[in-house]
Amino acid sequence: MQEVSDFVLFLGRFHPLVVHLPIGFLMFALILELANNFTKMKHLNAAVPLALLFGAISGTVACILGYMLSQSGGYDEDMLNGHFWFGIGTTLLAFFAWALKSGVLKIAILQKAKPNLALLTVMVILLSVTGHYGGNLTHGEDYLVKYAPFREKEEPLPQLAKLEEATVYPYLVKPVFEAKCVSCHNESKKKGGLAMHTFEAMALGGDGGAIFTAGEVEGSELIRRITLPEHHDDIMPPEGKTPLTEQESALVKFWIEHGQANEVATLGATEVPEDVLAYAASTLGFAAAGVGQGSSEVLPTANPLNMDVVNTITAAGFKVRELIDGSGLVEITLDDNKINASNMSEWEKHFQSLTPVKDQILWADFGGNELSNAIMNQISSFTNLRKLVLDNTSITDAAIQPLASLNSLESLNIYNNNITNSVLPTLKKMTNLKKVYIWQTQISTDAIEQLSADSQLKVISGA
Amino acid sequence: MCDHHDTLRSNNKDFQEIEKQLDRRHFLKKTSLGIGALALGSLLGADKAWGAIGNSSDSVNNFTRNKLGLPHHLPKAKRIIYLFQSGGPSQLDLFDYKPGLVDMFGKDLPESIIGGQRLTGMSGSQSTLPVAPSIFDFKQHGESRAWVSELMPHTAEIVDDLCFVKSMQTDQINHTPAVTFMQTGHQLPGRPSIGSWLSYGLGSDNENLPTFITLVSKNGTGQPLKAGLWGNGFLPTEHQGVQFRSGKDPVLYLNNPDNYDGNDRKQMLDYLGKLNSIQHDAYGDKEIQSRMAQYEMAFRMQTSIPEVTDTKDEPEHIFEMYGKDSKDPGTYAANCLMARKLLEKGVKFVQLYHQGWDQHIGCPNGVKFKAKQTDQATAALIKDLKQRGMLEDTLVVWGGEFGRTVYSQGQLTKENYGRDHHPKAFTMWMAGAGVKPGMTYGQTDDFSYNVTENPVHVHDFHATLLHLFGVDHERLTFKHQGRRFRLTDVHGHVVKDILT
Repeated sequence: MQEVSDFVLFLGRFHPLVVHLPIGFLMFALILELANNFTKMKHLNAAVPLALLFGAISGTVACILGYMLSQSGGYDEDMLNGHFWFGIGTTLLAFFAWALKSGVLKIAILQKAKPNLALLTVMVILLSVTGHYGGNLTHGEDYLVKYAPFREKEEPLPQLAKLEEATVYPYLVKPVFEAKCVSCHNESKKKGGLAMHTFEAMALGGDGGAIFTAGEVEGSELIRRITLPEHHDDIMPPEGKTPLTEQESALVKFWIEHGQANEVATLGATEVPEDVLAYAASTLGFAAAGVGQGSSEVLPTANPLNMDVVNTITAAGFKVRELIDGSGLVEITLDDNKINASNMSEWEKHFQSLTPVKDQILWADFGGNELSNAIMNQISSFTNLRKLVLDNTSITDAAIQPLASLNSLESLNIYNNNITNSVLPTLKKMTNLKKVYIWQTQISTDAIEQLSADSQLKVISGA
Repeated sequence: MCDHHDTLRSNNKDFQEIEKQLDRRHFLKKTSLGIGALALGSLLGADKAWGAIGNSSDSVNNFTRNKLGLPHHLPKAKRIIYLFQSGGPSQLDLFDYKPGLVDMFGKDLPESIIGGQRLTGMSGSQSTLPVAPSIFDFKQHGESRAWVSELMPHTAEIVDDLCFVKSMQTDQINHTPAVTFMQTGHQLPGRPSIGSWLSYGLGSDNENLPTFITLVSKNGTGQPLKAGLWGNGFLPTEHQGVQFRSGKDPVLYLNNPDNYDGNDRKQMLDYLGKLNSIQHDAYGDKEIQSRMAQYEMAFRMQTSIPEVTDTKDEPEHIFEMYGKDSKDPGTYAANCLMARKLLEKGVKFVQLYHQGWDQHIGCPNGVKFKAKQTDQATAALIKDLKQRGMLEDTLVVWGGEFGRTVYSQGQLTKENYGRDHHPKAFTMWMAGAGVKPGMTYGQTDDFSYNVTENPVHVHDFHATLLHLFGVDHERLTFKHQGRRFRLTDVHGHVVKDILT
């Protein structure tokens, strides 16, 4: 392409600004003419020539600026030609209508049949066609009707049974490109010679050649452009439009590096980085369970934390820590020596404040405190509890019994308590229990052997 | 004169002094709306990145609302103790058993093994590089059948709890850059250490104690350590490691001076805090807040430190387990015991340093001596954490900054040899939280010189460590001087194979 001076492009970019002036003037000319013909406001007739003249002049300026803008290239040629000629036609017609109306030009035949009304109607039709072409050039061809009520709906992608089955491009990458790239890189508007509305079009590359090669993130122009700093001249989408989020960039990178940059690779086919997996899971409506620890770990879903509830709990003296940001899953801990016989009834009430989050507690540590039966009952209501620390609490075998209902419990720490072999039946009822810490209890060596013999349970006693 | 029982008055002379001061930056901020708006943007950004630790400690907030969006996933580790063996322990004499070397005794190390590597100035000029097999016996231990030399009899007892990584690699061949690299992810000083990243990212579990504490064994020999190794770099200052003294009083001046009962100290600090917050409002310097937080922390440490560092309530059998040194404050064994107590109280990161593993000459005696100083207490720490149920969410790391060469630096005899620095292969071990127990990961060649299987670079180690705390190492960043920094810079892969 021939080099175009920056100044021409600079002026050209004023086209979208100026172009709305003739639209307004000429439309209004038609309205004035209509009023003149069909209402009693005959005096408006005098204003028509003025509206037409300004419409024609601003139309001329818009045409010139539009031509300048077209020099930046990247537009669909047919559509650009249409816009170009309809634009010029509209402008010429506006001049002609003005000449007729103002009496500069006199054609006898046309005087009788309300010629101006017909002419102005034709002019506005031309104007609309021009405008439509212009809109398509700027926003892409399907912009206008994308959300139309009776449009032909795109066939939705089939619902996925498993996250691993998701093909990377159609399910994940394409929606990103459609949201962030396609408005300037499509069939009709190919900025930089690049179209991204289909995979095939994208594979053809742009004026600078291919935008990516499968497996090569380093040399990929696509990656370079979307990951530039936000004020860089070359960043895509350009400044002012919404950039890709970090997760979206990571996804595109992953697609090029490990997804073979094609249409068919699935998420399950390769090792997926955590952030990409998390993004995929949330976009496609899968719970983010197990992300980061291999897919084996399934976490319970929980409500977001209610700060009023959290404030009540912390005011009581518990510490609350959210285990995964935004997950609502928490660890509750209590410093040593908070509870003793004298303030027990008070603390039994404090434990009631945990009820609203009882299904959200994954880990709990109440070690170093005296715990009453009422408190133990409350603890046994934490249905999703996985790790429970109750060392140095002077609890007894009987006090532990309610915990038998904790089916998620994996680790129980009851070291240095007055606990005997009678606790064994309770421990055996905890179906998911993997580790129990019983150092400094009275559980006998035989009992330990028996416990560890017949289950997955690891019994950890003293060194 | 202003009596500090008065409420603060703006006609106070101190404040008038502050009011008068107007520096260049301040002037620009106040006069130029544009720059003011820019500054506002970056201030808001900085606020967002502020760690979880509360700045106003008057309102002790028991809920850790993390402003950085952490943890990214469910953590396995709640706390860590890093047993740093400074100087570069000889993997060849401790864990990386190479029986074939006996037949190679005294032969020149083949060039094919060295592979053109640039050696240090200490052994690079030697005419020969004679292979020096370890003089120590190795045996397999535990159900995991891990090889451990006779120098570490206590460690041998706990191998089923450990995960040996025999394929560690670093970029640095000299102590200072290598230790700096291992502790901060960069060879040059100035980056935040691992502990300060964790403190910044995850905040404190006990507002009465520092989040990150460093203990250095007393009477250390060999290469010196410097505070930058546990420094905060460009992170807010309260995230730096607090070094305890290796003696009877871990923190000095905690006790009140004679004839002062300390009753009005809180009041004094409150007044000071108000003064400082006026200063902060005037200048917006985050370091003023850091300083305020430090004063408050020091005040709370007056009661918390004596309690946590006092070992007199420990039963005799615990001292026996850690070894007789554990009654001698400042030794490695005593530090291990204190570390356990600190971890119990909610300190997130305890970093031990034990110096002197730098056996250029007299390697057999040197390694033997160092092993004797550390072996029993290290093993005791693992056992102690385990029986208390803490090992499952405490990460324990053992290792130095690099390994040592298979060839002898200086003269090789049947009983004696020296070993030079070796960055291309060395052994570390991890244990506890989320790390597979009873595992040996990675392999070296017959000379323990090159990694032949599953290399683990220092960056990978850092990435894995952060992963265990629920942190994606690529997403814990801090913007400084116009770019975002990470512990792992632009490198690092989580070693998934060693995770449970």
